[in-house]
Amino acid sequence: MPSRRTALHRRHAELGAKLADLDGWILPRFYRGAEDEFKNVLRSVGICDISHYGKVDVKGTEVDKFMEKNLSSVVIPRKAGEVKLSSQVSERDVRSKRFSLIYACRLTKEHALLLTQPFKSTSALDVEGMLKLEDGANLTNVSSILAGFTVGGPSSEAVLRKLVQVDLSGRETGGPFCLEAGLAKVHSTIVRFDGKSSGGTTAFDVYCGRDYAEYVWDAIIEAGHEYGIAPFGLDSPDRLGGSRSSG
Amino acid sequence: MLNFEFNGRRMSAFEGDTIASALYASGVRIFSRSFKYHRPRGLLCVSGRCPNCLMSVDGVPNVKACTERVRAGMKVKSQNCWPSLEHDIFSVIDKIGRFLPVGFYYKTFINPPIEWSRVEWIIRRLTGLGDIEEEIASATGKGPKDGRSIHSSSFEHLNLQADVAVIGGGPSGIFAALEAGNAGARVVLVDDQPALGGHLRYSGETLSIDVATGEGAYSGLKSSAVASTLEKAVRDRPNMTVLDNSTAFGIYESNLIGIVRGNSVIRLRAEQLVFATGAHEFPSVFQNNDLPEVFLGRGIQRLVNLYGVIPGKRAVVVSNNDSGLGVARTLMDAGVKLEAYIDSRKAVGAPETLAEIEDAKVQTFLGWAVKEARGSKHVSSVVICEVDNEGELVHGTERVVSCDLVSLSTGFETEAWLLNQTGSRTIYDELLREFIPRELKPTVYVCGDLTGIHDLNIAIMQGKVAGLSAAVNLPAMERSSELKVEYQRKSLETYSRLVSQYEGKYREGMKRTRGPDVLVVEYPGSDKMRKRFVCVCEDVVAKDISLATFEGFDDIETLKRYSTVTMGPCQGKMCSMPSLHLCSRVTGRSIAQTGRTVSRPPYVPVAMGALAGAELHPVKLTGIHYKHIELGARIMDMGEWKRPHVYTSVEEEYKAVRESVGVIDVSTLGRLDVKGRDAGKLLDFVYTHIFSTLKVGKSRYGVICDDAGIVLDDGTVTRLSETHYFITTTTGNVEFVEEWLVWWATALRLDAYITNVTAGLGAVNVAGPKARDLLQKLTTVDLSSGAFPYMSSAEGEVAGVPCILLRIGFVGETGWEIHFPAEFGEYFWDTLLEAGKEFGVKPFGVETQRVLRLEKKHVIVGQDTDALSNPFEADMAWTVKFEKEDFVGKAALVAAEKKEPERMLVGFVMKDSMVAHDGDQVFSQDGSRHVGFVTSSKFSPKVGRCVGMALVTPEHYKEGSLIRVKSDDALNGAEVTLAPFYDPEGKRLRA
Ligand code: FES
Repeated sequence: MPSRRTALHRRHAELGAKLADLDGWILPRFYRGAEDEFKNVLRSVGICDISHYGKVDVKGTEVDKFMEKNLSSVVIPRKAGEVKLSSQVSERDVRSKRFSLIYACRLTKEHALLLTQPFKSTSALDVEGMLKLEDGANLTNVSSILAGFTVGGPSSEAVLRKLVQVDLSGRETGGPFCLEAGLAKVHSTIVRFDGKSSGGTTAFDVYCGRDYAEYVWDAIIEAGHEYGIAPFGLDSPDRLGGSRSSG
Repeated sequence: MLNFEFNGRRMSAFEGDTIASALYASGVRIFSRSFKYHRPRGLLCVSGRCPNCLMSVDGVPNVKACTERVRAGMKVKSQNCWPSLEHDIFSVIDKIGRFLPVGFYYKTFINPPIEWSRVEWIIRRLTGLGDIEEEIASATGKGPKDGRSIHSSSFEHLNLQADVAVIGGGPSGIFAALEAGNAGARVVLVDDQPALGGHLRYSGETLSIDVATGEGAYSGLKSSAVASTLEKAVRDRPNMTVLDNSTAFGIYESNLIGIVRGNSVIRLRAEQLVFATGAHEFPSVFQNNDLPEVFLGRGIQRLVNLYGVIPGKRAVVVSNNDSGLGVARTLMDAGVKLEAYIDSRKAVGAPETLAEIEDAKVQTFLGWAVKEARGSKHVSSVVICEVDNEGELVHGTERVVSCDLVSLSTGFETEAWLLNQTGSRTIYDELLREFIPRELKPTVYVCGDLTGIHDLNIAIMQGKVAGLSAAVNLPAMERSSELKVEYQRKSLETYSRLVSQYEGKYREGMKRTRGPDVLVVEYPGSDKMRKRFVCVCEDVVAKDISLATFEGFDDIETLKRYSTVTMGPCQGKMCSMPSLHLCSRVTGRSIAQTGRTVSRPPYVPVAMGALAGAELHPVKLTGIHYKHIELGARIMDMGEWKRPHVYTSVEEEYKAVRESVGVIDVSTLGRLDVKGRDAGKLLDFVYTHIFSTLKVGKSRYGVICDDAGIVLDDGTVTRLSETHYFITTTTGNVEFVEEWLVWWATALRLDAYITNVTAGLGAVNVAGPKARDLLQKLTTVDLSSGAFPYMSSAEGEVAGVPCILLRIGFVGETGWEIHFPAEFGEYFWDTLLEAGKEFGVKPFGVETQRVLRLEKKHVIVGQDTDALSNPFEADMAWTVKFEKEDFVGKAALVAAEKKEPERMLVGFVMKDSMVAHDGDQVFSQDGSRHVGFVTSSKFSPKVGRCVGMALVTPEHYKEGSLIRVKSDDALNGAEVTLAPFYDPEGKRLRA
């Protein structure tokens, strides 16, 4: 199968990224130097393209029941806004050996978004038999639909605050949390990670429609200008989102 | 030292100086010319609350010189004067002022002989404040970049959230913030000054604080030192955000606070709001009260104590409250000779300070007031008079005191405008002579000078009460431990008790010293009191207010609109109280009955650019976008999408499609994935056609109507499996269709899941007689007509990419619309073009596509239909299936079918070489009747003439009917055709 390009492919090339093939995706390993880039993240703020993640929507009135039955080893976030990490996902659940980690984000009562390693899809709308449908809930592969970025570093919240109206501080939940919000006027799903789950700093995963990806990336870069935002690649140590990448 | 330019002259300033303090120190006394009479005006409030120091700074007009810090190299210019501030030609207007009574424009320009339109340009030139200069870009130091406007690079919006927002960083605000912070709340403190502390920063007094407040340690210290200590305490708190130099300009629904900070607008949302907005001084109204060097008392204190500027040599202090005594002290400490202390009260609240003043051999006049100020461009003396018990000046008691500086401590007005915007009310307190807060809305708290009480001990305790109350009432705080709750409750009780004790004492004192009301001085028996300015912004004098009231504009709201008082740049801060007093005196109503005008945001002027914020216009790009750019396509906007308009020429692209093969990026088409047991049922209900009977692997055209039978959208519906459909919608309409389907699925309780997959799928239409040959090179899917007929579909790999192939033909040729994961976009496109080389494949743009589809008479919803079109009028009756039990719009369509339509969509061919344009009007053959309009029109290479579609009256819905199209003022002939212009039998489509 030919290799896959994220919506930001051109931006990476313009920025002189060193590209590499990762699970069939062409992605930046680094731009100028992984070490400097990661230091910049820890000091201030950085942005990284994570559009290659596998993304799966579970929607319906029976999201809990559906997940209990079909994804029995996934820790289910029950409350809207909750994010749960499952590190021991059984093969049966996902019918793919490479599928060992899932961040499950509960966006609303009737909607959960699962983030995982990249899929190898064999059909335009389906992925390896994941197109499941049962009474009360439905599972859809949205990997191609959503582009994703990690915006990480101590200034990441200040940067996003310029573009998002809702509260991103999340001090009430303590752990990671997710929400849906307009980001620079584009509907986005935002997941906040702190501490251990993001390499010791604050990081936000931002998911928006692939068609808007370049615009949103540019808006974040512009908003982050005053904080010295710089892109970082997949070679940066420990990836901000913990070990969600298999790279 | 910093250097800057003022009206072309080089000036110097100290670090921390404002433009005004630097200019004043260099001897500048006239800072502006007034709006109407062009009278010279000097500094008045020195706090950004009056209109007197507006200047143009680096091309940005109306900057307040008294709050704008000097930056090296900045260019400052005076406004509203010519040729200079000192000598302004337009000041002659001041001499003819008596011919310009209140309501001058209304009275003079209501009828000919002088029409408004004739004089408007002159008046507009003479009036208005400031000009927007070309070099405004330089103000930001950035200017346009990357071809984007200045705007986007200099203005921005920021969003913040807080548990408790405290507006005002004076002592009460600081204590409110500290108390709320101590209780665990996330606090944002907003203050319009560069540093916190409010009047403690500049009053210069030595504080005396009661130990019972818990802050007795500050007693005996200089106020400015305490301000710094408190500021540090606030800034050091981890859960505290301080927004200095930030002005809250509006309170909106759900406690949203609009804040302007330089070029940024901050949207702060808070659970609880503490208002510590304080009070400001305003000038009393006497003759020539607007002369330069007549200051408000706190303005003088700011100049002296914040900027080290000595404002004059011989001063007169005019007062009616104890703050005047403080100003007298400040002046004496600064070495200014005090010529007289004048107080309209017979007794003062701080007799020891008065004694000090008297000891310094200063003449004191208790029970006296100012009648007029004298001087031409500078004050040179004041005339003072004794005041009787009614507050009127006593005849024959005049005395002249010469001076070069006048300080007015003639009244405070509570800054309640923002508070009022929460819906909380204020009432007039006769004793305090101020509007004080009453009937606060839930989540709203007040403290400090805003309560009409000017006492530090009270301010501290009120602040504590407000801050703690706000914190304990937070919903999130309810969970805290019982012990803590009890402790907080007790603290609140103690604080509140202290506040009422102190307040009782304060009011007693006020009663003892209360004098007559001499806010607007009247000199009985004389109407010659000229030029007593009530409103310095709009040059409204006392006589104007009296006259307007006399003319019937005696309601404060109509008075405002008629006289323009309170409508200028200060938004009533200087003139609201004096105009109210005057109005109440003329009408005989009390101040409380007269009331205040309604406060609306913005509270201070906010630049339009700041309100608009950075330019954020979302843009959508297809996965193939950059390939189009590489091919040299001209890109057009289509909603948020960017699409290739044309690559080479329409002729060339057209030829490729009709004779060989063309490819077009159609990734902008809306795509929806509909799954579920009831998916077919849902589509049957939402579309006019039937889809539950559609065979798997087949596609069908569908139209969506609303309840009134109006066409909303169209597209194809393909059945991928028993429970799975794939829908296309028009570009730009997919979000609507998605919502519409979700809404109906929910309303009808159907088991159907709708996912918008547009962004995830690229799509290319490969069309033309050689389309099959091209595609067959890349796929094993059998594309022969037998295996893959028109209006059918398949899933399979093309060039190794998983695809959905639909055999449909918008452009009227054999063709496939191929949908594939968007991440393969560029690869897929390149592969198609490479494989098509041998057939002469060409990419084609939207313009060519429009010609091709028009030749086939394929309708574009929204272009060939409008907000009134039903499927019958759009000549699509065949898409409506009345045999279905029910569907959206059925009732309306049943009725519409029985009626003769008002309009019909027809095709037409222009005669000879005439052209028609979209939107041209259509007339009957003899040109006498208007019969419709052109919806689409293009030159058709096939027909060799201009063809199009038009919505016309039904009598023209017949082959060969003659009509006329009005184009460029000519009525050009055209003939109606009902069949498509190209391949009417659709043979090529099916080939
Ligand atoms: S003196 Fe500057 S605004 Fe009043």
